[in-house]
Amino acid sequence: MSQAFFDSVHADPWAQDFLDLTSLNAHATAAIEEAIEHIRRTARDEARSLRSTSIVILGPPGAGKTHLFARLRRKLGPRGVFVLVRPLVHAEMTPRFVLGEIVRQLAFTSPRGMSQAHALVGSVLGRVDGVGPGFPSTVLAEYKDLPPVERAARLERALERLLAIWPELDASYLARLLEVPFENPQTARSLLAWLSGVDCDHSQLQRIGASASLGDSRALPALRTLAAACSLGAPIVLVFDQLENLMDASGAGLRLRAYANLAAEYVDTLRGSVLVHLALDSEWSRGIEPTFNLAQQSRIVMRREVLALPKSNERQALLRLYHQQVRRPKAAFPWPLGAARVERLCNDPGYTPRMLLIEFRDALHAATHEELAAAAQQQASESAAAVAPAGEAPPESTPEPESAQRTAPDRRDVASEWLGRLRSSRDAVRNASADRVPLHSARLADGVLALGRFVPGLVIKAKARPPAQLAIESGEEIERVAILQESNHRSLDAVLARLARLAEQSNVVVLRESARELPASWTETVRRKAQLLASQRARWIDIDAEDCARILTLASFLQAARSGDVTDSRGQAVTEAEVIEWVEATLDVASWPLSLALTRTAPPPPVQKEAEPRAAAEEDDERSVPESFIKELAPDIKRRRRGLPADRFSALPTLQRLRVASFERLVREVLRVDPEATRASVLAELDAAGDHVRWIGRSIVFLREHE
Amino acid sequence: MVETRRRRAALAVGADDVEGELARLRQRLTREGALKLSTLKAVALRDVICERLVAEGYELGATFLRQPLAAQLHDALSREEAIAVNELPERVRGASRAELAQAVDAQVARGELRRILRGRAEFVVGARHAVLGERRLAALRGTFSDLAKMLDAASKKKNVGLLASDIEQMLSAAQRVLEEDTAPRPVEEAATDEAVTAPAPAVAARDAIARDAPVMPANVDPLVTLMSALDAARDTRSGMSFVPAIVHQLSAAMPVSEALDLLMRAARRELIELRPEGGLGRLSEEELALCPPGPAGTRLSWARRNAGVRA
Repeated sequence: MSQAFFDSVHADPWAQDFLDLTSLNAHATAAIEEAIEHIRRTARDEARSLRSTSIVILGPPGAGKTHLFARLRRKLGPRGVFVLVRPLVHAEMTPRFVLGEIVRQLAFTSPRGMSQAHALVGSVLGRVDGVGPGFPSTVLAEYKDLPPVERAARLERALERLLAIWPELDASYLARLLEVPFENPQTARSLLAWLSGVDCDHSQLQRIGASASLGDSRALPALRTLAAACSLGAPIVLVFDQLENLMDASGAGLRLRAYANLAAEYVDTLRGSVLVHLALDSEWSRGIEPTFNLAQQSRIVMRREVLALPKSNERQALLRLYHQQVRRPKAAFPWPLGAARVERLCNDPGYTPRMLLIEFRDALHAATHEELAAAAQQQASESAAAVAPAGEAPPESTPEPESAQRTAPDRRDVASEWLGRLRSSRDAVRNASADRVPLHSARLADGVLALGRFVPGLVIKAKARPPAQLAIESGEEIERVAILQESNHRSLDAVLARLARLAEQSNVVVLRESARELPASWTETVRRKAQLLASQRARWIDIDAEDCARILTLASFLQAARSGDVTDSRGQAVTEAEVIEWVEATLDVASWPLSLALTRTAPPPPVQKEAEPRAAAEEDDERSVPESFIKELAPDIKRRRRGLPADRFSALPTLQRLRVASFERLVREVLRVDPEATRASVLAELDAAGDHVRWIGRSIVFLREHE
Repeated sequence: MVETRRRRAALAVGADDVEGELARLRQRLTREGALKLSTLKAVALRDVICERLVAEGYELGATFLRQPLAAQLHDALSREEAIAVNELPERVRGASRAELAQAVDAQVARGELRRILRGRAEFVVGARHAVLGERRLAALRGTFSDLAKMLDAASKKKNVGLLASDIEQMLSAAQRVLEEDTAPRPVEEAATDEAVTAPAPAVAARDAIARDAPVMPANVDPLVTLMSALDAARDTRSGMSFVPAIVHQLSAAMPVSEALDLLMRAARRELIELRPEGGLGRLSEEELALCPPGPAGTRLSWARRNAGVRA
């Protein structure tokens, strides 16, 4: 188990490292497992009468809702296709969007090492061939060994058998789905892109022998086809998470009603799927379910499971599990917590698994820090004079920090959470670019909407007027915002033509990933773009990769805060309002290139001078750091390799423990172990570390190794 | 000719057709709110379909099949703060004026809707709005009537004014009436005077159960009192009880601090589970004061019996 386990207190639904106490909320797991097995049995015996099931799972933040998803994936693996969908903020979730999410996640690997797409096709083929759905790899291996012509014939026969059961299925969609495991990786990716409804470029279409991408009108039939096919081997478990984000502040309930309509329709029309709705229990009971009409309630809340908090013995078991994950524990359990603290954690009411993990992590960090400080102290004394080494004292359990020592910062420290999410978004953007798959325009739209909240004077509303998704309002004027991610020049031509007509009525701004630059060979598209811009009522903004990552992170950060899934450096849940306050104070969103472009503001001139080296400064000397938003400092900062101050070595170990902290907090923590340190000495130590130390804005500091 | 048509219709009908038609009609009802019976295509299936949909909760009028009027009104009031009574027919579908009036009366009686006056026009609002009932209106009438008399009297005299602090005092009295939340009030006013944030049926049910719960005699084990209060405050759908409602009931027999302590003791004994509030800032200041503090700065605002703990 890696150190990352203790650093990430929020469940990763796709985690490879996974720690689970199976007895905790086993009833919820069993409910979904039962539903899956019922579908598999019915698919075997009476496929035509298959119906879908809908289960609601409720719990407070940190109780294990998302963890449940990871547990199911691990336990049931190839027996189900697991899909996690978080709602859009700016728009309803259309069938096309849901289809895209399902197929995108078909490419994800199950805990047993096989992609969900392969497991699905293998189990379906096993079912129709009479072998049974439980041997997907064996079946796939058998098919792969066949000569191509014979394999094609067998796939054709499998397709016919499926259509015999359900004649209404989309045959060409199904045929392409069955081909996925048997194509080379590039073609398989193209097939998945087509199956997801994404706009495919010419080379992708050519590779798979398609004349056009999947049209909007085929999205719902494709969903039905996918659900039916999956039900025979690995039923789709479609999990809608963080549903409290559908509640809008105005209380109008429009998005909730749209969601209820969608969910109720899927229960009626998709065969053999399990729909799972995850939400905060209080929000579901008071704000979500009451908006459903009776018909929707009966379809969506077929079964309700409320997650329990761990009991005393379960808490103890969890804490022991955490202890087992420590690579080199200094002592047996209850180290690093101590008996008294374990007693409190196991018996005080209201502890969720996440809270327990945070407590354990904090105790572990405090123990590690004390060890580092002790080592630093010893190093300092050895270098000063030869002294008899002290006998090694037995490691003590870390005393609990007294409440007085934990002075509440003025602003909640969530820099670590932000950085973690930004890292993931950067990976996602990079992977999409490598796979030549566009980022989802709906998610980018959510990101742009989130960005608008932090740019003074920029009012962005979720007012769609196709093909525009958003609108910038400025007094009486409206500028429509269209995010164009089309990959195919014909699709793009069609959208540009519609935009040209829209531009006759209102101004338009087009956003597109800069990674999806228009090739010069797309002459017609280039011409249409020029024509649109020549109308003087349109402008074009290319969004660079870093801005894409930032706005995606911003949107998911705000949503997570709403769901109680953001914690500060003390492990306390942070509200959406507090996250907003932190973003406003720290990130300087208004100076991001996209913000400048949307507000038509010229970017600031580049910094001419480097920051001058600082000598030991006076107590009230303030650090001047590179401007505004998070960025790579390395090209602009002279690499300093000066020796560290000989008598001070406390800031860097402390920063290593904290990983990310405000400068003020870093100083406070350093003073706890080194009362003779000063702001100036801490600054000097950070400065001496050169580009090993990074800054966010003017006040947040972290080590480069934690980036 | 007629016979041939009948035969054709009969041949076209099957079990799948019923289910398919039902699915289509549900979608139309969701979109449109109501359907004219005469537009139902499969005449031969009309009775079966209507019976099925009525069983699912839809309503059958003389000429329409519709979403329940209560749900339609609830939907309309989730979009608008208040709707004039004479504009209600434009907001719902598939009901005659008489049916609509009857539905509104029934919902007002159940506390799901409230009737208010704005100017001279009568409006309906949802249960979440604070509406002042007879007692508080009487109190305000008294206060403002006195103020009006003072203003009249002052206006008839030359060079005579009114002390600002006197006016402030009267307005403060009026403000106190508006803010009054905890004073004992007559049972018949509780539903109309209470400002609620939860849906009215759950709130009304919760309060009715809490009001109806027996007061325990002094020599009963406090834990038994607690479990009774918890059961009385339970929401039947979620199975959970709102802690402020439990504490409010217990406060008839003990101080609030003791009630909070009792909750914590019961939780430590694993008789009940106390759960942290995960809501989006839904707890009022008064409610926060009635919830014991939890770990990591949370408030424990929901409770339920642990499995296996009997009544």
